[in-house]
Amino acid sequence: MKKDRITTAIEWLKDEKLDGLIAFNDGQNSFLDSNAVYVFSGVRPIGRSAVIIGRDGSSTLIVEPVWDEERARGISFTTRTRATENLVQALSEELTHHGLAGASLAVVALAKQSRALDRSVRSLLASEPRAADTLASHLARIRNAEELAAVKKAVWIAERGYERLVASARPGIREFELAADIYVFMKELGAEDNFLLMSASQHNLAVRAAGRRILQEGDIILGEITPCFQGQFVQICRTTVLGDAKPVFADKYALVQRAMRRGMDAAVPGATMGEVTQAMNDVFREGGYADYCRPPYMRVRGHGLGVTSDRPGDVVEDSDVKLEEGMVFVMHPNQYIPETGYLMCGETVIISHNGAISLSEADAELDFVSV
Amino acid sequence: MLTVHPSIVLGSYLWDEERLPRDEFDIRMDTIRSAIKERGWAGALVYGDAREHAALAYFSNFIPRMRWAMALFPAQGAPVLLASMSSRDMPAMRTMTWLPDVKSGWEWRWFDEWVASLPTDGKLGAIGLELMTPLLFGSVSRSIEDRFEIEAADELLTEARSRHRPREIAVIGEAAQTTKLAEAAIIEAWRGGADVERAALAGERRARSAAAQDVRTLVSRDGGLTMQPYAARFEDRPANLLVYVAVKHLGYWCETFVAPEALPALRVACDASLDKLIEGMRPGERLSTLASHAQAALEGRPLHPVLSGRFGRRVGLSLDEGCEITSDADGVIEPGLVYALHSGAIDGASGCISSAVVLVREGGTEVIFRSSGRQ
Repeated sequence: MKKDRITTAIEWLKDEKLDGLIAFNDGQNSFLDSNAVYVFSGVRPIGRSAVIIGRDGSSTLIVEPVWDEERARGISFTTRTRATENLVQALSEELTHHGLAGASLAVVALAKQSRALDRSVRSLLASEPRAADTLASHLARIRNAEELAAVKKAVWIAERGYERLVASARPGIREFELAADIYVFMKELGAEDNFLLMSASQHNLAVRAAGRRILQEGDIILGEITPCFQGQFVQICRTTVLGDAKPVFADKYALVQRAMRRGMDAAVPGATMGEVTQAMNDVFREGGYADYCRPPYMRVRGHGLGVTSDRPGDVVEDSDVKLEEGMVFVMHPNQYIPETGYLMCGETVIISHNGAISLSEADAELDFVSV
Repeated sequence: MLTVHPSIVLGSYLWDEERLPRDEFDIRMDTIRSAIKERGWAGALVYGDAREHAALAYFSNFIPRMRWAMALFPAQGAPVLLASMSSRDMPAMRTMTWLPDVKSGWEWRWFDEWVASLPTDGKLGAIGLELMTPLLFGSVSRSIEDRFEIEAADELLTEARSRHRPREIAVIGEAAQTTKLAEAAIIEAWRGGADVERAALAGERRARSAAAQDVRTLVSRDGGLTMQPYAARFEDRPANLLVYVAVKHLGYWCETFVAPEALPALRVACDASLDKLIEGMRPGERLSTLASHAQAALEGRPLHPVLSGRFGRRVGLSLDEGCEITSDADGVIEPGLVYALHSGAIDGASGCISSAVVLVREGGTEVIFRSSGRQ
């Protein structure tokens, strides 16, 4: 089914009257970005890599290093797979093989590679290629059935990871020890990657990666749990109190939850991300926190999720991206509030005809760990 | 070894002022200060990203967890670090570097302000320019406009790092201790009946619990013939275990191959080849000669394919700091440097790789870490 991505790319090439495209990745992965090589091959590369797609329907994946060939060949849905110690040289040979030397080409994500690679690739091409850096992200903006099943499994892993956090958190443990436990636990459940931020404080300014802090009674533990399963990142955001919390925490957490619900209701097909953001921000404005609806008191109200497609992008007031039914992203009205510090509440959602539907079994609540 | 790069490096990355204090960075900064003075630069910038950040980490201790960062050193005045993260994340970023002023690289005005603060026009030195994306380089170029010409100065890092500094060597030694813990956990899990994936995870868990900043693994699903990254496939328990594990501690890497039950004859040959490498790690020894001797000790077996023809290389802030030990390498072994060594081969359906991390001194070689042999 992932092969559909190549088919749609070929249709795009025909529409644009281009002979072929080359998609690039340098081995880096971002949970906020599309990995173009993954989208067009199903392979998450470990080194520099490229996929060539010709308008004639042929496709070749090139990966570094040579010893990764067997894995890449076993996964890739391109017609050919080649491993090399020199991507640029192999690319040159494969362009000739595809009859694309001197042809009109588009390049996907070349602008995200190093200057050195950008220069080397351009030296191979007879003419200036068309930059199509967002093509992979655009073509994959609606998860297909296989991808959606992986999304749901990833959310299941995230929720189990959070349960593990609640079960393991205790005064005296260091942040990195807790993070190590839940990170490896989620790997054992199948998470191939995890943008895991998890930190604690008596008054958090924001969530961050785990450090050496020793957890104490009264800490507020923030968890941005972001496993990736079969190329699908998801995210849930949770707030956990170690011990008891002042009543104000419940009041303010209810505010964050209200913003989440308001945002989900507003997230209907055709609505812009700006409108969804405004719906969430209005809750905080009504609560007296208008001045805090901007960095550094929050970052965004949600965002798309790589490595397949980062669409619909950031949930921010100035985004005019329109939602489409079936889009998957995370909504999280995470917010710094002076009385409590930073609070986190977020779910991976899918857009339906009457709003966003959370993919979690249990949406975020302010949780307590007895000590 | 190349492994799948994670979306975020999430270990404990705080600047450890006891192990790598400010005076250490004062010494390291002499390289930049001297270049600024001698070459008449108005300032210097040092770039790094999540994947390759040796230069940035060497001068600033900052390691981007994701995206990129740039340390900006003016000829006079306080340095600034730009990190490609939100302003919300800056308090956390400030705990990762000695540079007092850390700004969000998403607000490009900070770069413009730094440029505007430079009192003289002329030249800016730069390390890591080739790693930048064309987009970011374009932003830098537009900001400096006609005031400055950029002078690439990557050789400064090469010169500064012609020797591993004593504190670097000490920290690599600590990374080796964590690697030892990971190796023991992998072997214990394997002998307890775990599949290769779970055995590798046991090692990762142990290292992360010991404050490793990063842990990378590869496993062999076929008894040591090939290696692959983690794939959440928990069914493979071949007759022979081969796992690669690399551990990062305070910015510095140590690595090993875990192969405790390799075929005896193969193990003997791999260990003998590794011994040849270690014996030959003398200042001035030709890299190609070393490779030749190590190859001969494999008794006609080709070098294991996952080693890509290399018997070793420098290791430290990067898993690959260059100086590759290959049959066609030109250079020689330099004193004061830490090298990762490995030799391995395949016999029939079984593979084995023996490995070590060593420090070359004028008066002899110190083995910092050596993979466990057959047990």
